[in-house]
Amino acid sequence: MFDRASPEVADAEVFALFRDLLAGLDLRPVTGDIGILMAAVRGLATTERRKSALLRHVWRPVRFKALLDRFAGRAPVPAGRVALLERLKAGSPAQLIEEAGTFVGLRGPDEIAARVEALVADAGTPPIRATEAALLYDLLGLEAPAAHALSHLRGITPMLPAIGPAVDRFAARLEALAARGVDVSTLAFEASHGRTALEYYDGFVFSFLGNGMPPVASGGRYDALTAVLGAGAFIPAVGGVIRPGLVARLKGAT
Amino acid sequence: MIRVGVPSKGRLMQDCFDWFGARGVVMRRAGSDREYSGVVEGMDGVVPVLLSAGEIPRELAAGRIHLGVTGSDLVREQLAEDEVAEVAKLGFGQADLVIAVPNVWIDVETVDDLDAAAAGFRKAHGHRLRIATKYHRLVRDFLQAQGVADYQLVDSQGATEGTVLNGTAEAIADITSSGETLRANHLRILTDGLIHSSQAVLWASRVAEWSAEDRAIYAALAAKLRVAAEPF
Repeated sequence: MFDRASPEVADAEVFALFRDLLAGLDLRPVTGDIGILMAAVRGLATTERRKSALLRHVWRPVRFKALLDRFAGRAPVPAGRVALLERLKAGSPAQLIEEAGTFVGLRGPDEIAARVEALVADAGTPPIRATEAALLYDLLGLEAPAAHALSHLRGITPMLPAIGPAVDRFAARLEALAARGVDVSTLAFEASHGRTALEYYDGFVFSFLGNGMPPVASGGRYDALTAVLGAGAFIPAVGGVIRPGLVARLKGAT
Repeated sequence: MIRVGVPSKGRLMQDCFDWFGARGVVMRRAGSDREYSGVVEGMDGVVPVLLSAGEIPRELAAGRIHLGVTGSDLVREQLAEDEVAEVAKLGFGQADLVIAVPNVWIDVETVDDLDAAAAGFRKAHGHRLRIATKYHRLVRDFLQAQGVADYQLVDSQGATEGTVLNGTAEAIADITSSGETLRANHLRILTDGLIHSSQAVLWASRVAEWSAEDRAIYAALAAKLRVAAEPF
């Protein structure tokens, strides 16, 4: 569904459509919002390079956490990195590359040197503040009924002001959902939901889950995808898929 | 009658014969050195089938052999968990499946570095960083579990260490025992780049038909070999 005017209403409309289509199958809906997490990362008081490294891995929780641990000073600097930084005191990247022997491969000396420079710069960057990091860890683990999640997010917004607009959108979405008869006091919300599923969702995400099977339906907002595909033009979009095989299995079983 | 697939040549065959021999099950090739058939002494109802080690996983999965000796790397790469059962690790044929990168990548020591390098590489070159391997499943599972992005696997069925030098890949994932070939090709193993520690394993096919008679023969064999009584 393409809609420029009121994306939150579109989110709610698509969700309600899925709910109605899947009614009677006894599925459990779970929702999330990647946009809040992305806003939190963008709002961190750290370098653009660190932020883009984190944003690149929003969909890969393991690597995201590894990066966050390192940027927040919770994980030790790898031994090899320490050794490299030490050796750079005595020689330039170009010299070290030269000393490493025969050059092979397409990744050029300038690319290697550029990353080395970035590593040096990063080593001199102070860690992400513990309070900020703690809020991000808290956000990653947030799982609560949607209405409760909203009040929790409202509570932490003063400490993480960058998430403000995303939380407002979340609030507007809950209102639109409630207007369509969704009980937001019980609707499951997980801030990390959908992070491992599909890489292009960047806002509202939802799944309808059955027991002992992959999600029967899943969907979400993929504004960034339509922006890339539009090559300059841009139209916000939200949608999803229902897996007919699983629906047939459920209907056959009931 | 149970059919046991064993490697048909070289060091792997000899180590395999030695392992069985040390447990009182003497295997040898029948007739001349060039004939691919074998005999077993000291055990009735067991027929050795000499096969290329690379084909043993397929034969196990098809149920054409009941037991087979081959590397855990090949089985983990090619078969699903429910197709075979591990009977015993044999303690030879050790080799590691590892990720290696050019030695001149002074900024890359770990999988984390590889991931960052892949991001930069994609930006600079417009395509994803290529990793040459024949172990697609094991490598993909490993990198996915670690959340690595912006890479692609390119197929290489042999001389994989040469792909970087030849410009068809930026990094490789391959089996190595001493690391000498890697070094000769100006490559270095990532410090946390061990994907799988492989060794020769005796496998039982869960697909093969195990008649009551076969089971009895297996039980006698298992007692001699001192391995699990009914793994399948």
